[in-house]
Amino acid sequence: MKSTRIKADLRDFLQPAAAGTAAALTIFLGAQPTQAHAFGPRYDLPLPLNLYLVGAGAAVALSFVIMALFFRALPAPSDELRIDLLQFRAVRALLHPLAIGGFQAISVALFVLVVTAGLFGSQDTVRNIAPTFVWIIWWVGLAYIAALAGNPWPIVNPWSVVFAGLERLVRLFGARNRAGFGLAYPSWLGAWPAIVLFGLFAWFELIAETGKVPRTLATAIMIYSGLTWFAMAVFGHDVWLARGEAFSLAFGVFGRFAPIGGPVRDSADGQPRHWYLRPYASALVVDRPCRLSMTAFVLVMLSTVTFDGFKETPLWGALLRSVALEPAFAPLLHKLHDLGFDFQIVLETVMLALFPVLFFAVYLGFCRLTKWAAGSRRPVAEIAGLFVFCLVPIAIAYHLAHYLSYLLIAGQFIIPLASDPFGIGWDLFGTLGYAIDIRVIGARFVWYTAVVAIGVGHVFAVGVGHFVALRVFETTKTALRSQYPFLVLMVAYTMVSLWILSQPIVGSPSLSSLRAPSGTVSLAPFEFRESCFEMTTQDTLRYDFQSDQPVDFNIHYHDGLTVRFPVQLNRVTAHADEFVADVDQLYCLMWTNQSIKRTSLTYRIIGP
Amino acid sequence: MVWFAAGLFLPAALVRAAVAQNRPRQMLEVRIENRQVVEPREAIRVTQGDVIELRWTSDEAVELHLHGYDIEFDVEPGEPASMVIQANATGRFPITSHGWGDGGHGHDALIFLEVYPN
Repeated sequence: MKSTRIKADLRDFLQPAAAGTAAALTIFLGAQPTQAHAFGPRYDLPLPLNLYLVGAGAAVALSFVIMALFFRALPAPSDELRIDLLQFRAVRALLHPLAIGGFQAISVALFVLVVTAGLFGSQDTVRNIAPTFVWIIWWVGLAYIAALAGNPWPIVNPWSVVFAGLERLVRLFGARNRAGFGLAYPSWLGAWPAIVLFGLFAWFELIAETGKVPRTLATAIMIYSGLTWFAMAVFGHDVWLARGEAFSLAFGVFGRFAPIGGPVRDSADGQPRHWYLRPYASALVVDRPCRLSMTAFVLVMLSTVTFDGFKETPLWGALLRSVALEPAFAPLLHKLHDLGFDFQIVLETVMLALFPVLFFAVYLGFCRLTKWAAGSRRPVAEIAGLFVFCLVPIAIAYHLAHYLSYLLIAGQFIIPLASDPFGIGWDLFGTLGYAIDIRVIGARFVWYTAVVAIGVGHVFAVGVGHFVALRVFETTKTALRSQYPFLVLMVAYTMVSLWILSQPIVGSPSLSSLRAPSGTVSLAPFEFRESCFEMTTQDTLRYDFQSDQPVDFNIHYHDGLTVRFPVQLNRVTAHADEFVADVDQLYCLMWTNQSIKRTSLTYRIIGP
Repeated sequence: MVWFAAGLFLPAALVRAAVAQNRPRQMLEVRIENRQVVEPREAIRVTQGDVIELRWTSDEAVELHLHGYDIEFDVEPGEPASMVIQANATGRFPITSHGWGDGGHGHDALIFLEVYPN
């Protein structure tokens, strides 16, 4: 009983408001206010001011402590610090072809389960395993494992496993060509395909409301799978994994921080030869610059992590509101609305695209400063490619802090879902009745973990930057001097991360919805308000309104991508009428202040 | 780093814990007008372990839902009604309406309940 009540609770978080009758749903701005990212509730308390200050202060203080202690001619961590795990028999057993085959079979089975459940299971978000597994267990959970332990993705990646299996099958039948069409991958393309795909994924996760709908999610997975396999066939399995498979690159970036590096395989027979345990973050210290596209990929990743937190802050809400109410944008806003676009989604999409550009610009600016500080002759792009990984520990720390309670609370859904993945009433493991415990993790623990993680992440970032500088700059002195600009950048990045955590999580604002069936509101120039009702054919609605300044009034509904206007009045100050629905639709009554003065609007809606 | 941090946090935590003993049951009025909470203006803030009684008045019938704690609750116009919460779990929990008198359905948080650790 308890569990069904909890589920009812979550359903309200997850399901679109359209399910209700006479839903006060807004089409322009703010459809799901309490929505965090992809889906699921988040009950995090904002980081208190004193902890925020302690964290920020510690970042600055620690930077100087590290500089004082370590900024000498300290040798970079060498290969001697690694331990080959394959010297232990138990570990060798773990990498036995049979064991690896087992992990891969489980991974592919889970992949098939998620897609099948998404397509054919219950379409109720919390009763279908697909959304919880993909967004919480896989995307958040695996990122934690990849960053803190080791990146298992190269072994279990189902797209890679399936394709490699098919390749083996084809070879069995005598085809000699290993890589399908065997087209040469154009080198100018770099990692740009992965950037585009990762951007689309981030959009789907953070902005599209449909990522929580099981069937849409499964469809998206199938499209991505088809694309991945096609590209692997065209360019070759390994090439695509290194350049285009967004998740291989993403988990790979996180995995560079981890203490366990991927097994080093023999180039001839593909058997694992070494499997190293290494100091945390040591793989982030590179001595060859990564390509510009890879640098861009890392920055896109970091910026989307930051964007995810930022879009839940009150500041973002205020920003969105001021843009939405800015008269200069009014014509554009109406045009978009007429074309059937959700204005909020458009604004968020623009912001999601601008964030990486902003990150890139700031980062390149600091690289230029570094070049100047070190008096180096290396091009800025090369410096950018060398130091980009320094920022990864801060991003990982922020990611850890931001998602910790989400993973531990919303992640509990997987327990009942494991028993009934399709949402059809099975109880395979007897866990269907499991009720989510919101007390598994307390606010204090989350706060301290957040501040400590971000502090530690900052120390690692400073350390990585330092070691890279020692490796790539000519003298110790120039290496040290090169680090001052980066120190400023890292402190700033750490503070922004802490600041986001200190903000209360608010949903996107509902800027334009009228909650009450009658009332008086004040409209700024070009501001609009609307009130929406689910109506069935022949439902009748009576309304009247008056305003000081002329307003445009309409009753509209969305028919796919087109907006239909059964009622449309321009520049009126008073009106009273009756409206009869001719189709079953969600009808919205909408007022727009068309004058350059603020107006008051008194309205009354009776029915349906 | 960990010890450095712990050294900074622990004294503050101990002082807080000493202060937060034996709190009586608190009562707070919450007023809904025109489908919005007009009082209090900000989030309701309590400390973990508190027992808090929210006395709701509304100008319209409404079904309220405190998420996380998962308490559902009806308020009729003109009849103040009390929601008693044993604030054991920390966090920031939205209270939303699950239906107004005429069937209107809101999804915005009317107000947040913030339970701070003691």
